Amino acid sequence: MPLWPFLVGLIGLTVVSLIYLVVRPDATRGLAGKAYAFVLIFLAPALALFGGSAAHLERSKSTDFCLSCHAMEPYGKSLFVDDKEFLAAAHYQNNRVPRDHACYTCHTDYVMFGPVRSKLRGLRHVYVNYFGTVPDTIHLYTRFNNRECLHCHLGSRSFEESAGHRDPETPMEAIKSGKVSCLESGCHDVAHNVHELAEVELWKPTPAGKVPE
Amino acid sequence: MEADARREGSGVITPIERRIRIASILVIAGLLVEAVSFFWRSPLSFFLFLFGACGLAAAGIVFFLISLITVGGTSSEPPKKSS
Repeated sequence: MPLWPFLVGLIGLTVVSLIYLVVRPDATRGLAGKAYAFVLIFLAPALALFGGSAAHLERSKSTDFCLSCHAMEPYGKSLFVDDKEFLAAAHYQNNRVPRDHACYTCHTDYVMFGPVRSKLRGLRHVYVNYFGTVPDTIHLYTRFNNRECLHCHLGSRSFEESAGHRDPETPMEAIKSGKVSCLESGCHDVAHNVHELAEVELWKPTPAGKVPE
Repeated sequence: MEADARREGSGVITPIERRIRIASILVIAGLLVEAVSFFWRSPLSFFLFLFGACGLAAAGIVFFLISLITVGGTSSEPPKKSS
């Protein structure tokens, strides 16, 4: 259940009560009136702002939010490529990542989600989207961290027993420690590949639970 | 307290009440902007929340708290004479 509907309710109650204070400021006389003013002008707005920050950060994790920038549209489209080799598409289409938080699941340190530095980058992205020039090819700031794969795959049978992961040339320890990159070692190197979108077929999802015709 | 009760409804507004009214208006504006930011589906909604809602509401809160300190001792009530 999202937080924002509760906050809208809190805001509504507070605003109505504050309007009464604006019309009748003499209601703050006496101890009860002073407590009333303190709750309405300090506690309730502080709670609403604190909750608002949490609600906005939570919303910034949603796939809809990430794809709301024009520059991200091809990346959203890449989730529908009808080709198992496309890593992001295979994960999205097979529910290996929650569809409503698809971007955030694999990019946990990106834009608003990571430490302060990531949040500042996120603010810069919004600025560039509206006032700057978006580059043709968008690169990650740092190499994709194996951690993003391992937080789901570590310990899973298909990962631990995969023949490729047991290859002496790519020892499991090197994968787990990040010395061998999952994406850049040549094994899983087709991620979004947005420049190939014109040449590939796209998957048309059927409504959940409905048997395709 | 009796003086408060007598003044209540008399239409006379003390300096602290005037400031409470201004603080209330700022907080109302901030909260309304926050509500709008929840319904606006755009990356800019976070900016609206951060700079619009937080700015206005925080200004109201700070103005209220400063008023409590600076105007708290000021009253339209005449000072009591010590006998």
